[in-house]
Amino acid sequence: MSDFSSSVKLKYAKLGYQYLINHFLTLLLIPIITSISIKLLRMGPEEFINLLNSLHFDLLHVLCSCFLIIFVLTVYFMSKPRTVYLVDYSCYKPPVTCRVPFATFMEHSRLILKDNPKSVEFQMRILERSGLGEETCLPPAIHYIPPNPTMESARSEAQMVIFTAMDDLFKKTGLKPKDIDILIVNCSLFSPTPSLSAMIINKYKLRSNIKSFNLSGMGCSAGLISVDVARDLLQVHPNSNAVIVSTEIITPNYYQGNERAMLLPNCLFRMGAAAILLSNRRSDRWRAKYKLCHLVRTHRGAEDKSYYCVYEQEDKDGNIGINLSKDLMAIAGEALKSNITTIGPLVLPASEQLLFLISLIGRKIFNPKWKPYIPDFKMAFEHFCIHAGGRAVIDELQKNLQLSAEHVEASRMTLHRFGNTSSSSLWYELSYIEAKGKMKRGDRVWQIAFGSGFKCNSAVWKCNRSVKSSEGPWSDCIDRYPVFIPEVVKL
Amino acid sequence: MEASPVTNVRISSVVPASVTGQNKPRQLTTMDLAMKLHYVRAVYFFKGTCSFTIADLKSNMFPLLQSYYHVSGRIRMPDNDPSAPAIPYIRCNDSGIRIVEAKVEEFTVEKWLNLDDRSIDHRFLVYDHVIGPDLNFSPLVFLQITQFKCGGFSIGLSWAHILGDVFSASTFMKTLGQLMSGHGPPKLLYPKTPEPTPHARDRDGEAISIKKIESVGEYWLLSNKCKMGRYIFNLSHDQIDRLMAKDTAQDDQPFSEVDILYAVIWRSLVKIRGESETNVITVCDRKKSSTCWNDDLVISVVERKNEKIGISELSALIAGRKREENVAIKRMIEQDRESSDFFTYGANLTFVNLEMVNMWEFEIKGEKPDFVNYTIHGVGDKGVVLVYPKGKFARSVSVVMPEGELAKLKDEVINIIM
Repeated sequence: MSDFSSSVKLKYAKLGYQYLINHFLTLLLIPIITSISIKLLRMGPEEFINLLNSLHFDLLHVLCSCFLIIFVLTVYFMSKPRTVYLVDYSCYKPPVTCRVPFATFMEHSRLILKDNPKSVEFQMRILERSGLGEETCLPPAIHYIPPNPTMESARSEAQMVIFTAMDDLFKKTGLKPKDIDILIVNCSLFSPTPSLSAMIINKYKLRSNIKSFNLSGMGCSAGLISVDVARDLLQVHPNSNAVIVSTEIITPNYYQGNERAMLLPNCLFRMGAAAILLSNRRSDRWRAKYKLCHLVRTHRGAEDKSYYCVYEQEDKDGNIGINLSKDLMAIAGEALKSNITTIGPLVLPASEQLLFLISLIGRKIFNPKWKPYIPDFKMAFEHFCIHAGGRAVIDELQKNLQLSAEHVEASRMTLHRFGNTSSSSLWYELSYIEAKGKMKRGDRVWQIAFGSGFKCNSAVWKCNRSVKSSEGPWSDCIDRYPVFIPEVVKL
Repeated sequence: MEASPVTNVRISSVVPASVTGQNKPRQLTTMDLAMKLHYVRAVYFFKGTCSFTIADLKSNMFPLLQSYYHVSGRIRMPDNDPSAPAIPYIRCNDSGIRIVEAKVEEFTVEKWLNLDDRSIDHRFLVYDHVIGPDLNFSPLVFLQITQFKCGGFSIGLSWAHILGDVFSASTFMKTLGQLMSGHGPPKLLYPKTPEPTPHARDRDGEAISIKKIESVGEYWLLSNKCKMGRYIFNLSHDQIDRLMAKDTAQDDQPFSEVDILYAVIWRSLVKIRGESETNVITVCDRKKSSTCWNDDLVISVVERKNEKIGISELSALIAGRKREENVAIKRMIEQDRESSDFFTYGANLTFVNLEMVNMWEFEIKGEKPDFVNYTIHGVGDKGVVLVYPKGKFARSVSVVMPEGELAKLKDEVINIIM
């Protein structure tokens, strides 16, 4: 009982402290303003007029002061960065004909790897603990035994996912293809000539003076890198919009060998794509769903350990695959810490920053053995979108940021329903939160993405208008979620 | 034709469109176990260019399998109770069925069908599918889609008999055709949970229509002592009418066309094999229901004591003295408690009545198949005779017999009908 009452007391003490620090300025200003107004009221009208006369205002002074104020205001408004709005986005929902249940994936693996029973065992164990569900999808070429990846089938997968997502985006936003000013496509592992952005320009007959970019090789965090590029471009070009297409094309990258560390991506990566419309036009302010507040990119590539942890290479038989090192989780944790140190001051309320500062000073000066204070990010954000890279990634981040199960629900459920769709997974997660009806005006969302390099990028969005759950990739199955995902699924 | 004319073989899987969930187990009934080692094989031919593609066919299989989710499952052996009999069951885990895409570049469909030997249909246009040796990961159904030089194609189905009899297999194909023609989701024609059959109480005596063999382990196929061949007899309606007229009813026992066709083959084989070898025949019929499962099969035996072997005598025997053995079969299998395996087709000379089978009703957007060929794979040494439903000009009788007997059988049958 005493434990309970002391914890309640602690809670109130904490709340009081937070209220005091966060509203410090307000709490300081109120007594000052009160005292000034009391003094003014006491003075009486004649004394007040005498005071004003004694200041000797004349026309020149007044005019100069006005011009100064106008000048300062103009400089302020001109140098303010343009707000970037996210008008709307759409996620690709794969057709039922691409569905890969657990049992089918295992059976195909057994047939393809029949000379390597150890590799089959390994894949079975990974799949049982992966957190994926029975409805994730692979492209048609991968359904063959053995898989049949050709350049043509890769292109047709790209066309299928990208064009469907873009058609849906056009329908949702009423955007006309000829109105697109900037086009950015990111797809890490498939980079044909002409590029995927050229493919889109060709299909939709976009303008000849469009600014198009194609980012490849940048891993699962490339989605937020595209947003960063779009934001910078939208500062330079007034009254413009930008379309971002984030995807990962699975067909050419399905590992065909039997090296265990390289079989892991086969179990996790699945088909997906997202198309996003960003704009800096004032007319879009009213219909935009989100406003971009911050975007922080952290690159740990300077360290060899981070650089080599997700590495594409040939195995001893000449098959190309992605090698994931064993310290991936540790490196991800470190990358996250760097990113948090930069983003923390931008988003955390003053109370948390003060505590963090005190703990930092304490550890440096007094006693290094003090536990480092982990700021409570739940005070800065209402929703979290953690890249659904795998169950381990989500578990690690949940532990590091001290998040509850509800906060990481969007990430876990996206991993279950769609698998790891690489750079587009953040958008599926955001779509989940909207489909659940939890997104309200003013809510802040934190998207965190990790990628090869090793990079950790995060974006902070603020909800501009309450989002009604509408058509999306979750519309036919949202009622079944959240599902309980067991630790190990028996095949 | 010795070498296979089939090229460009690509294998993939199709799965149910939605999640069946919880790895539902589906128990096998005793009748299913009696049919465990047999496979229904069917080939449908479509000449000329068609209004649908292979991709259409594949994409319509997904909603089809959503209803037929047990067809997409896999065999599992129960592993908990060592005292209970180890009856295999189907785990509905959405593994799917296998689709084989292939090409035949040297022939058009017409040229293929003009060849004499109809056994080539089942040798090359149906995938040689057996459940096992990897029992837990073997598909129960294989579908081969072969494209011919002319643009026409054939669809070859290999259907494990534990899923249902020939009628079930043809209903599966008919439903696929309906889905492709744009009709809505199919009505389920199989019982969702097979009910356990009531225990046999009074009958004594072993069932002679099935034969017990040593357990086949994890490779579910019957091994034959001799090579089996296939042949299709086509009897025109005139020929059958003449037969009916010639061999008039005896002892006021009326018999049907099917009975007389059975009698023709029986008599021929008595002459080839000798009287002692062919005293018992098995007759497989079907209850008049549209449910798709093995329990609607009616398996009877006809024993010949010392009757004369004339066509009319045999027809009358078949029509009048059938003895149903379903209950005895179930009791025999239950008492065995899964220590051995059983088979039905070919245990004795077996006759299967396919009159109820809707084989030509596999229609895709109004196009009907030009030729359909059904047979059984995994047949015992005594052979199987399948009597197709009445066609427009003729009735077909498809036989599976040891190759050595086939030539003699052809001669005997021709003698009888002329």
